[in-house]
Amino acid sequence: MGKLSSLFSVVFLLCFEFSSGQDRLTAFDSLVTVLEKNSNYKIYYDRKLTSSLSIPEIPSGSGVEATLKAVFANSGFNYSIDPSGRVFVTKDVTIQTTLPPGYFAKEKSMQKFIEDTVLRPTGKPGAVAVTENKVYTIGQKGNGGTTAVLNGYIKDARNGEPMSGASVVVEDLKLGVATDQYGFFSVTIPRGRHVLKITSLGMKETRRQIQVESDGRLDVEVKEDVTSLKAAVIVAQKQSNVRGMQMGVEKLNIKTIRQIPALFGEVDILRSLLTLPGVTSVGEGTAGYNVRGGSADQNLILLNDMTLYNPTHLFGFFSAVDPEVVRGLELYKSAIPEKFGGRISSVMDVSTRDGNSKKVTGSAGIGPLTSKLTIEGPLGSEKTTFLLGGRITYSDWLLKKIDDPSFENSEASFNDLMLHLTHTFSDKDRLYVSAYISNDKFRLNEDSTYSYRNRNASIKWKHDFSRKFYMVVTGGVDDYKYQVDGINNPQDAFKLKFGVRQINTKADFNFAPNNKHALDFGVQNIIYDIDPGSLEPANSASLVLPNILEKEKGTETALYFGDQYKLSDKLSVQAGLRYSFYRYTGPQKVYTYAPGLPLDEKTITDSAIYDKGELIQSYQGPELRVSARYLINAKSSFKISFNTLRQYIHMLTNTAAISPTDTWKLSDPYIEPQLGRQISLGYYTQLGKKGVELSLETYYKTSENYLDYKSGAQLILNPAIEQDVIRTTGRAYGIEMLIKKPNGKLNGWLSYTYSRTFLKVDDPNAGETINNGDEYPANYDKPNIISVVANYRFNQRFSISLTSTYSTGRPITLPVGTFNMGGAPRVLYSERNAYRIPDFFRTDISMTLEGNHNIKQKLHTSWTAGVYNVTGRDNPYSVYFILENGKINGYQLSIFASAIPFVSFNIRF
Amino acid sequence: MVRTLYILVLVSVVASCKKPYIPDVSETVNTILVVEGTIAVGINAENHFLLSRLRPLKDTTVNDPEPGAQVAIESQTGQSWTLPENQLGSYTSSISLPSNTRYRLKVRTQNGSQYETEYLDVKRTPPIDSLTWVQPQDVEIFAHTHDPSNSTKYYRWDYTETWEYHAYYDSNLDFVNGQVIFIPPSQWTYACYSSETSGSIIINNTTALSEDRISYQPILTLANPSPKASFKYSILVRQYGLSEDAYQFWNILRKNTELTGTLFDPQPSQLPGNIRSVSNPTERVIGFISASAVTEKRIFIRNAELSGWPVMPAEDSVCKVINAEPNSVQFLTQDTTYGPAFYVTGGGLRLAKKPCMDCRRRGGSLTRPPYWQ
Repeated sequence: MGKLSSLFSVVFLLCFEFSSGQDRLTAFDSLVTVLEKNSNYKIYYDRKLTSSLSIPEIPSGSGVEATLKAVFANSGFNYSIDPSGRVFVTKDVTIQTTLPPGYFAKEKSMQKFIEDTVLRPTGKPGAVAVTENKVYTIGQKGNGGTTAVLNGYIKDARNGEPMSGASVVVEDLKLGVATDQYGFFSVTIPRGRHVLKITSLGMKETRRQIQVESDGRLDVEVKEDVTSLKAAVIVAQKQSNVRGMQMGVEKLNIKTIRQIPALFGEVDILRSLLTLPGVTSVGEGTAGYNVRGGSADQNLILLNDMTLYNPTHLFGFFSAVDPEVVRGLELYKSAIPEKFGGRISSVMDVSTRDGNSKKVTGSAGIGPLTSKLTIEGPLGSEKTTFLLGGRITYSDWLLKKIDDPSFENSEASFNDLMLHLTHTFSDKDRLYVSAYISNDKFRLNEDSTYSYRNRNASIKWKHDFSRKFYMVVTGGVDDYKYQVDGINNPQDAFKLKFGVRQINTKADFNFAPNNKHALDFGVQNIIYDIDPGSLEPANSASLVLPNILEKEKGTETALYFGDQYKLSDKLSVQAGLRYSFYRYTGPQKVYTYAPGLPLDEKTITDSAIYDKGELIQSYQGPELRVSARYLINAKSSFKISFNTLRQYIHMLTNTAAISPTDTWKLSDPYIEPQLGRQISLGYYTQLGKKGVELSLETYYKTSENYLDYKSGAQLILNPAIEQDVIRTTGRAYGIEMLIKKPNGKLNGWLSYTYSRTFLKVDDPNAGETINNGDEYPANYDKPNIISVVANYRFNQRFSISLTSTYSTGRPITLPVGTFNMGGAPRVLYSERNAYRIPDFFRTDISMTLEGNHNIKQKLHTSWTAGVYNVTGRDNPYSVYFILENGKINGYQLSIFASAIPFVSFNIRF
Repeated sequence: MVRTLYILVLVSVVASCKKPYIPDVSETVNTILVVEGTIAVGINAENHFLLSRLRPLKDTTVNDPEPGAQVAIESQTGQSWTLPENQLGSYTSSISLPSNTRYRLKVRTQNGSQYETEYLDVKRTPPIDSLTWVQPQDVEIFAHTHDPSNSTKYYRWDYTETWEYHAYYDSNLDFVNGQVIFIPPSQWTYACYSSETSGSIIINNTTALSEDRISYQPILTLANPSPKASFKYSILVRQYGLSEDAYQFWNILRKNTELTGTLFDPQPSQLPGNIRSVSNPTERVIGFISASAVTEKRIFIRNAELSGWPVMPAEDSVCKVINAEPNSVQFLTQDTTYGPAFYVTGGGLRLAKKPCMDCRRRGGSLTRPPYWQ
C-alpha cells in the first residue's frame, strides 16, 4: 500500500516535471512504467495522443483498471483488456478484444446479458444505452408484426441536454432521421439486428447495436467531441445540406458563433449571421438585417418560441440575447416550414440550452463592455433543470471617456436576463418554461431619456401520444415598449410611449406513420395589442396636451398542414399549406376617404366608430410551402422550393436603419398585409474526399404592400397614418455560392453573393411617388458580397480566427445641387438611392487561448483577444451634407474607422 | 416638440470618424428656378422676393441670382402690385395689402417663362409677446408668443442682429499733411454698427399643446465672448404664421440640410413646393410662397447687463501704443500704418496702428441706425 501511494506521489511530481517537455517522458509514460512494473499487464498506447493527458490524484490501492478508469474519465480515451493481459489505449474508439456480444446469438451466457438490458415499451425513463458494443434488445419477442417503431431521446452525456438536429441512421438500411428540438427521434424499422449511428453537431459519432423485437425506446447519450469540434459541426451540416430536405437554411451552433471575431469581444449571435450568404445589413452597428432583399421588419426572430421585437442593445450594436445561454440558431431564408408564419422574408429560430441535469455549473465572463453570469443545474432532481443567464453593461465609462463636456451628463446602459426551466413529468410529458427580459436606457446630456425593453415568456408542453405521434402546446406573451422622456424645458416636458404586445397560443402536431411520410399540422393564434403612441405631460407645469392614440387590436389565426413524403430513395417532396385569417377589430375610429383620390385630410368624407371587438377589416389567404429534393448521387443533390407568405404587421420607419423608436402598425382597411413570394433552386455537392462542400442557390422573390413614406411623413403619434404612407412592391433576385472546408486544422467557409433588390411605388392613390414611379434600389441593395470565415487550430488550447468581408457600397440619395433659402445655402437631393457610398471591406481577427483542459480542475478559464477591423479601413457608413458657416459641406461618416482591439476573459465552473 | 431623435449621436461618438466628402455628381442643375419670399399683408409691409437658380454642388459662387424678371402680387379681387428689382435677383416693395382677400405670386423671367402660385389664404400671425434672454455663459435669446384664437399653430421666425462696437482707441486726432489735427465728432471712427441676418430655419408648432402658445422658443445663442455684445447688441425678430404645408416645406428644407448622416436620419424627402411653371408643367421649380402678416419685435442688450463679457477684444501687440516723442511727426510720415492716438497729460502724443482707431476696419458702418437707442 505504502508503495503505491509513494508511487503516485512520484507520478504527481513527474506530472509537473514533464508536462513541459514533448520529447521527454510524459506523465502517462511514467504511469505506464509504474503500472506495468506492478502488474502483469502490458500497456499499448500512442505517445503522441497521450502526451496531453494529465494524471489526477488516484487513491492508494487502486488497481490497474481503476487507475486507468480514473485517468481516462471524460478524456475521450478508452481502453480494453484482452484475456492475455494486453491493454490497448485508444482515443475516441474502443478496440474490441472479443467478438461483439450477440455475435453468436445462441450463446447462453449472453442471453442473460441481453435480458438485462431489454428496454420495454413501457421502459424506465432515463434508462440510457451507453455502450457501443452491447446489443440492446428493443421490445419483447413475439409482439407486433414485421416492423417496429423505435424512438427515444438523444442527449448530451455531460449535462443531459437534449440534442436537436442529431442524425440517427440505421446503417444497414441507409435510413436516417433527425431529432427534433427536444432531442426526440422516431423511426420505423424491420425487426431484427441493426446498427444505429448517431451523429450530432460537435458531438462524437457513436453507434448502438440493437435487436428489434417490437416497438420500443432507446435513449442515447452522446459525448462532446472536444478534439475535432469543428469537424463534427461541419459533418452534421454537410449531411443536412446534401441529404436534408430543407433548403435555404443556415445553421450556426454557438461554438461556430464564438469563433467569429466580435466587436469588443462581445460574442454576437445576430452579427454572426452577416457572414452567411444572403444576409446583409444597412451598415455596421445597425439593428436589423436583411435576408435576400427583404426589409428588416420582414424577419421573424424567435427565442424559444418567443417573438423578439427588438433583438438588439444600444441601437443595434449588440444582440440582446446573451450568447452564453444559446445553443444555436437556424435561419430560414427560402423554404420556410409551414409551422412558421407572420413574416414574409425569413425566420430566425434561436434556441437556448436546457439546464445541466446532472450538476450545478456556471460560467462568467468579463469584457470591456459587459459582464455576464450563467448558472444552470438540476432543481431537486434530474427531472427539473434550470438555466439562468444575465448580462449587465458598464458602457457608461465609454461615454465618460469622450473628451467632450456635452457628454458629461450622458448615460447608456443595458441588461438582459434569460431563464429557462425544463421539467420531465413522465416519459411522455415534458414542460418547458422560458422567460426573457431586456432593458436599455440612454440619455444624452440631460436632454431626453430613451428607454426600451422586451418582456417575453413562453410555456410549452410536449406530449407523446404514441411513438409516432406527438404534440406541443405553447402559450406565451411577447411585449415590447419604449419611452422617451423629454425634460429639458419644464414648459414642454413630455413622456412619449409606444408598446406592442402579442399573446400566442398554438398547438403543433407531428405524426410519422411510416418512413415515407412525416406529417405536421397545427393551429396557431396570435392576439396583437398595439399601443401606437401616447404623449403626456411629464409635470404639472408642462403645456403638453395629452395625445393618446387609440389602441389597435388584431387577431391572426393560422391552420397548417404539411407532409414530407419520400417518393423514392432519391426524390423527396415536402408540401405544406398554411392558411391564415386576420381580423382587425375595434374599438377604433376609422376615416372614410373619397374613392380614387389620394388619402389625406382633404379627402376625408366620413368617419366610422367601431365598438370593442367589432370587425373592421379582415384578410385571409393561403400560404404555400413546397419543396423537393432530388439526390443525384450520394454526394450531390438538387433542390427546389416555392413559398408564399403573408404578414399582417408593419414597421413604421423612415430611417435607413431601424431604430428602437420605430413603431409597429397592424394591417387595417388601408394598410394591406404584406405578401411575399419566393422561388429558389439549389445544387449541393461534396468536392473531393476532404468533405469540402459546395452549394449554389439562386432565388427570385417578390413582395407587395411594403410601406414607404410621403415627404415629411409623421410616423409618431399619427392617428391617420394611412395618409402618410405609400405602398411599394419589391423584387429581388440573386445567386449565392458557398464553399466550406469543414475539416482539418484549417477550416471555414467562403461565400459569394450576387443579388439585387428593387422597390417601386405602386399606389395610384399615393398622391406623390418616389422616382416618378420607377424602380429604385433598396437601402440594403449590395450587389456583390464576398465573405471569408477561417479558423486555424494550432492545438487544443490555442486557435486563431479570421473573418473578412467585401461588399458593394449601399445606395444613397445624394444632393445634386445647391440654392439659397432662409438666409443660407440649401441642397436639392437626387432621385432616391441614385448613388452609392464607397465599397465596404473589413477584416477581423481573434485568438482564443484556453486554460488547462484537466477535467478535474474546478475552474476552466479562457482568454479571447482580437482586433475588429484590423486593417483600420475607414468604411463609410454614410455620407451627408450639412450647412456649416454658410457653406454646404459634405462628409462621410464611418462608425468604426480604426482598428478596435479587445480582450475578454471567461470562467467556467 | 417631439424632436427628431438624435440618439445616434452616441454611435457617432463611440468610434466614429468623419471625413470631408465630395460626391462625384454630374447633373445639369442650373435650369431650376428658385423663388423665396412671403406675401406680407398689412400697412406698408415690406414684400421681398428673391429669385435665383440652382447651382452645382461644386460651384463656389455664393449665389446665382435671376435678374430682369417681372414679379407681381395679384389679389383674387383683381388688383396687382409689381415689385421692382432693387438688386440683382432681389425684388422689393413696401405695399399695403388688405388681409381680407387671397393673393398669388406671378413671375415672368427674362427668358419668357411664366410661373405662378395658386391663390393663397392669408395666414394670421399673432404679435410676439416678448423676447427674453438668459446668460448662463453664452447669451440665449428666446421668443414668446400666443394666439388666443388658437388658429396660428405653425410658426416661423427669422431675425436681423445689429450691434454697436468700438475701435480699440477712441481717437479724435488725425495726421493730415504732416500735421496732427483734431477732427470734429462727425468724423470720429470710434463707434460702428454692423448687421447680420439669420441663416438657420427656425420653426415650431403648437399642434400637440393645449394652447396655441409658444414659450422659450430658442432664436439664437450668442457665444461668449462674441464681439457682437462688446458694447450694445440688438436683435429684431420677425414672426410668420404658416400654413401646415408651408411648415412642412420649411421642415423638410431644414431636415434635408441638417441630416447628420447617422443611422437614424430620415431619408431625404422630396421638397414640395407651391409655385409652378405655367408654360411647362413638368419643369421643376423650388419654392414655397406663404401669405401672412409679419409681426416683429426688437430688444437691446448692453454689455453692462452681461457678466464676464469682454468689452473689447483682449489687448494684443497690434494695438500697443507707441511713444515716439519727440519724433512723432517723423514716425508718422515714415510709417503710414500708424496714426495719432491721444495726448497724454504732460507726456505728449501717443501713436497706434490705424485699425486700432477705426472701427470700420472690422466691417461695420459709421451710420447709426434710426432705431438705435
